[in-house]
Amino acid sequence: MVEFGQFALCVAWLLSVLGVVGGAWLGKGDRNISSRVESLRRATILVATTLFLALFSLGYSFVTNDYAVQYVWQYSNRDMPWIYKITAIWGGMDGSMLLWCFLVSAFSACVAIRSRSYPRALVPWLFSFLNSSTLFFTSITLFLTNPFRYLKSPIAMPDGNGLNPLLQNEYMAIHPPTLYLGFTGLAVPYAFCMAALASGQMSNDWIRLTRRWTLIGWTFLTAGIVLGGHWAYLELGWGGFWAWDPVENASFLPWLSATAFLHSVMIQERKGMLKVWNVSLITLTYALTVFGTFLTRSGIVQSVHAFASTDIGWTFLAYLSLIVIVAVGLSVYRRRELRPERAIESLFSREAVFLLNNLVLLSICFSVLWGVMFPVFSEAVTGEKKTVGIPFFNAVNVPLFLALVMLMGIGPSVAWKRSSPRQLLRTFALPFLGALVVALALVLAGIVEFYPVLAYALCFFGLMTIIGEVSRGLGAQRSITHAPTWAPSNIATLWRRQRVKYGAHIIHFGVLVMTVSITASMAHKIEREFTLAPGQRFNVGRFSLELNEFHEERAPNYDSVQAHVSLRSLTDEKVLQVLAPEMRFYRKNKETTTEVALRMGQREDVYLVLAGIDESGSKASMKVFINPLQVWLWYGAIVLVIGGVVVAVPMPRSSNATISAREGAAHSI
Amino acid sequence: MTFGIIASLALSLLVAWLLISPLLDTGGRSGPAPSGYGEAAALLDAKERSLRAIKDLELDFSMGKLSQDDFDRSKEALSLELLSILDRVKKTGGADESA
Repeated sequence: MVEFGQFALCVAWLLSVLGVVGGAWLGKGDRNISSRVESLRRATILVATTLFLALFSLGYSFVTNDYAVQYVWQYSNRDMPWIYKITAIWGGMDGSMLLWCFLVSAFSACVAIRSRSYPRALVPWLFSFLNSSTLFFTSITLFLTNPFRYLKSPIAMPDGNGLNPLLQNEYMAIHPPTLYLGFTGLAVPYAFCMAALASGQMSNDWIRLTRRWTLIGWTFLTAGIVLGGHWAYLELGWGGFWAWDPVENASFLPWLSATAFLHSVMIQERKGMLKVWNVSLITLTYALTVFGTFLTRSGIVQSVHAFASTDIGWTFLAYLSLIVIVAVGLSVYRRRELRPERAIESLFSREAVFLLNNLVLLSICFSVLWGVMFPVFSEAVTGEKKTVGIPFFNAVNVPLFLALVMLMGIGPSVAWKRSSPRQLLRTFALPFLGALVVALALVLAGIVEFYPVLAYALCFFGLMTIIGEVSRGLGAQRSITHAPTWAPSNIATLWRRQRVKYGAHIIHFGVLVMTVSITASMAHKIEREFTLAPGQRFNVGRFSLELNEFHEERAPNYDSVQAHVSLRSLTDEKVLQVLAPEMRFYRKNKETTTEVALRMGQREDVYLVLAGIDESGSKASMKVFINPLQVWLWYGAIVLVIGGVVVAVPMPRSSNATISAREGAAHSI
Repeated sequence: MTFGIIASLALSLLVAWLLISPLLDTGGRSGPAPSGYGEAAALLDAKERSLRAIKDLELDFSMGKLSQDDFDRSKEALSLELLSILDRVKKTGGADESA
């Protein structure tokens, strides 16, 4: 099966070469014959099919314990549950690269399947650029990180090394693939953009298509980042979900630039402005996904999430340079078509607010990038590796994020083209007063720190503007439906007519909920360390913790000890839950991990970690975190992803379906 | 090993057939695709944008985001712009746009 996997990988590589070269060759108009393009379309779909077969072969080797294969031996053992044998496929660098290849080719195949309705002149170039992404990653997998290599050992290995215990978690099944879907999905907008520049097919069509594909990648990336945060929260045992770790930041960087693009592309679609800006943002987004991969796999920065240091970093740097050179070259070549059709007329317009939003998002992006690369720069300049920590990221980004929350409230409520200051005053007077009341109420309640008060007030401001937008939309709709403002029929009609717009409000609402939760966890978190013997109690917040007993267990691949702790409410002494924080000792890896015990609540999470047991085995050292409103972070993220899906799913009268017809119309004007 | 060889052979044949078969089918062959972004397509985009801008303007006005003065002024400017585009469309009408 391994030989077949290796063969399938080789076929995929050859097909992607065909896709790149064939696409560029057919890109010239007189060679763009439909039968040839159809052959290329099939080649693009076949790349995904063959890479799936390669991935399946590797999975088969894991499930059948084929330890003759070096990668299987390195990341699996016989005692591991079968689910972790599957997830071990992407547990190391080689397999994760193969998964990456498959996902990028799967996106390309999805585009190829839908490509019959795309502008014909665009399609060959589209295949060429899509396959170039696949070709790069397939080349690395085939020539540098091949997971099908045999172990160089004269004797058959009876068992493997096993997967890192931290990765033996159910989130391993979903977090990396979702994150990779986000990264690889963002290769599609880049391909569309470059294909449009190369073919000269610069109509609004490619912008519409690019926006949809960016939304798909963006939604996956959002889900992947949040799942990663949830995993870190449950598994790493430090009581938080985001530590501004270089690898976390690597996933956040393209998210920021993609978010900026999703806003600025609306201006290009409507006003024909910011064309070069949008090409730059798409290129930056794709370059940052490749940069993130480089960061994780080159060993250039230290992170708990990074793969071992390797020597493939230079290939990523070379590819990064190529991405930028191609984008700059094509932009210069098409500079005439990229000229803006008009300028921003007023600072009091939605265009101006969106542009400001872009600047803030890119400022955050730059500050995060600076923080990530600072150790590298400092070492290059001073010879000493200096790192910047959480305080730097918080100090720079908290005010920028709050500015973003404010712009999020302002942007959708301002008219396109221009608004008069008087009109703006009318629109924002009530939300502003509401925010002021919230701020005053919080100060009176004893919350006097500047940033938390500002954050809660701005979130309320944002909420009021969303409610105002929905209410005004329903009011305007009444003239058509003649139904009362908040009648279900009125709401349904508005939803049908402007689903994308209100989908964006759902996303904004999710962001507001997450902001409230993040503010609460940053400002009001309680953290305590203590030691208990059975029968002893410790009070924290409005809870009491009582250690009952220790409990030992033997699982197939680890031994564990649990501390059973009764969580009581201090007000009525009622036992709310028996928490069981755990320490595990993985026999094969000889590693100890902690498993957090968690009581999730709408008001707060009680997060208990068993830090150690004394030598006599009678006392437990524990850490407890009271994380206020933590669960709302996950609720907000769910709302955000739902909003992303709502916006990304095509409207019943899809723009794609009309493109071919439109293309015909253009040529018959 | 034997399975691997048979599966690889089958995969090769399947890939080759799927790639070559469209090239052998001469029945549905169409001519080369028009390339580039010609004046006609640009005008169509401009017309679409202009119509959308008027629609957005009316929506913003119905939602109370614009004063009557702003609405009248902007609508007049956009209508003139649309008329100018339509005029250019008329002048280009019927011309074979392939560049």
